[in-house]
Formats: sequence, structure tokens, C-alpha cells
Amino acid sequence: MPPSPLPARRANAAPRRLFAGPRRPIRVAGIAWLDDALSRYIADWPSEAAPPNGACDIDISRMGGSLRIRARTPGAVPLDFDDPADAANAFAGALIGAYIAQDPDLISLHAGCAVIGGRAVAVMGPSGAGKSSLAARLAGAGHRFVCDDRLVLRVPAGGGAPHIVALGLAAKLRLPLPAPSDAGFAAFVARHALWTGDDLVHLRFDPSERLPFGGTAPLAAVALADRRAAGPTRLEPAPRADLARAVLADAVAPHLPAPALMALTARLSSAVEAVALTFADSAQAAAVLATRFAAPAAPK
Amino acid sequence: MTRYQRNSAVTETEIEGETFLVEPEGEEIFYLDKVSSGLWKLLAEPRNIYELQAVFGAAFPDIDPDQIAADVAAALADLVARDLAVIVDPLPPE
Repeated sequence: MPPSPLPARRANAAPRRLFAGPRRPIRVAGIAWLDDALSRYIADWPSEAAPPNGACDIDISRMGGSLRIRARTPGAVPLDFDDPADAANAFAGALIGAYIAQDPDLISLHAGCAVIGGRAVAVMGPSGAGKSSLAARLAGAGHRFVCDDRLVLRVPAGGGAPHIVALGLAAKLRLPLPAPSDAGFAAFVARHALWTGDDLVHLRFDPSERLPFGGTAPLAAVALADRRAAGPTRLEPAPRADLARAVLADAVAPHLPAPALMALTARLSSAVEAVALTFADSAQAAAVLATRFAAPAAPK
Repeated sequence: MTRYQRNSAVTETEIEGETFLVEPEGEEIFYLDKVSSGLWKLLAEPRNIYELQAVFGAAFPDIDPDQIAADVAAALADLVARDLAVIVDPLPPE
């Protein structure tokens, strides 16, 4: 798909905006450059107009024929994009980075997540592992959507259970929908389609179908997804060390020095159930997750 | 004889029997495989490479001693290169 043309409006004509943060607002300049593409990635992150002075946490600017995203968070480098949609996606990532940078108890993981029976269940895995499909399937089955790619967790250093923090992120699915996809799920996707491209559909779930911005839920489990071309769905206990390795390999936490990240990972791994999810059919896998976590496991 | 020991500044975290190390100067977190984890435990006290190879040889009698010696030497060199283990002064002559 060819990139969308860059918007013609001037960034300095657009007001700065303050996006909600955990401790203080996140100040952004040049948000108008992203045009309408941002709504594909962020469904309901509150923001308000900001006065035109003061340093920004994130600057969006036009550099020649590209859009540049420059975040002031640790380790961030300027990123240039030809397509506003790609820039909007990167901005969503930068915004999450700025959000977690305000609190050393926060990290971000590449994971899909839904709330099942009042507790959050996250699915980790590489690109193509089915995070988006599972999150959407769970949403379609009545379990509130949290995210399908970027999950924010709070793992309190002072005690207390790890919990997810919803940031009002939008959903997406690759097209065509993976086979087998029943007519009911296809209709669910069509009903929530916000933007449809050649190989991607962005979804916006109804408020009753998603956890709102700032909503939290205790994290019950992390499923380490292993998607296969064929075969049955299996959900088995996984070693906590596997969860720790997955978190350390994937965590987005440039605001944390290594000892703090290790300590957070150890707290998380000891408090949350780790399961290995092997599957080929995302509908079946979502049903297995929903059944397993709809009620707390019976004591042995 | 050169002896090796854990770098005392390294922080160790154990999760279900598996060992993760944080090296003090760097920003990296290391996960130890079985050989390296065994070495790490042995290096709680200063040891030379022959002592280490002998312990592994006794633990795995069915594995070719030359293979064990090579694996231990490589894992030890890796720990030292990453500052997870350090060389300590040789024992004074008796």
C-alpha cells in the first residue's frame, strides 16, 4: 500500500497538547502533523490544549519529506517516517514510553491483554504469535479489551499485586482474517472496523467492550504464545524462569537501570502465573483462555 | 595457578532454580545456562580451571572429558569477559 501523503498543515499553527500521565501530563508539540491517523492507534487517551511555552516530552515535526518523532525519554532517538500512519504508530509508542518513564513501578511489554473474570490475562509472543487475534477474539466473547500489542504493567516495589494499566489503545488485525474464521467473528470485526487497508484493519471497540484509559485489573497470568500452522490448542503451566526470560527479552523500560528491571521482573514472575499456550486456531485458544481464567483455579 | 572467583559486585537473582546476574558497570542482565550456572555456584570460592573441570567431570562421567574441559574453559572465559567472574591472586607458595 503506498504511503499516505503528508498533511499540508503547519505544525507551528497547531496548539500543543497535554496527554494524561501517571504523575504529570505529557506535553506534546506538533500533534496536528499526525492528522487523523492517530485515532487508529489511540482510542481514548485524554488530552487537552496546552500553553505554547515550555519544553515538550515529545516533539513531532516535519523534516523535508518526512515526519520526525523526537521523544525526550531515556534512550530515545529521533525517528523519521514518510507515512503519517507509521508516524502515528511510533508516536503511540513514544507516548507510552513517556508514560512509563514517570513511574519506576511501570514497564511496557509487547503483549495482548483482556480482562477475564475481573482479572487480566496477557499474551506475550513475537510478531505473528496471535496477540491481536486472541485479544480481539476475547473482546468478541465479552472479555474487556485492554491492548493487542503494547501492555503497561505496574509492579509495585512496595508490595501489592502486579496489575495492568489500560491506556485506551485501539486494536488492529491482519487481513485476511486467519482461517478458520467464523461468520460471527467476521461480523464482529466488520462492526468495529475504524479503518481498513489492504492487509490491516484497525478496530475501535465500544466503551463497554474495552477497559477505559486508566482502568486497572490485577494481572492473573501471562501466556507465552507459540502459534503453529496446525495442531490442537494446549495450555500448560510454564516455568516462572521462562516468564522472567521473556519479560527481560521484551520489556520496554529504558527508564529503569538493569538492577531495577531485574528486581521488577523477579517480583512479577513470583506473583503471576505463567502458562504456555500452543495453538493454531485463535478462536479455540481464546475459548481455552476464557474457560481457564473465568474463575480462579481451584486450590489443590 | 590462576584462580577465579565471582565478581562480588554482581547481583544474583534466582527464579525457580535458574540464575540471572546483573553486572555492576553495565546495563545488561545475564541468564546463565546449565554449565555457566554450575560454574557460578562453584566460583563462590576461588578455584582454578582444573578444579572446575574435575567437578564437572565427576558430575558427568558419561561425557568425553575433553569436551567437558573445552566447555568449562569456554564458559569460564565468557564469565570473565563479561566481568561476572574475576581472576584472583594465586595462592602464596607454602
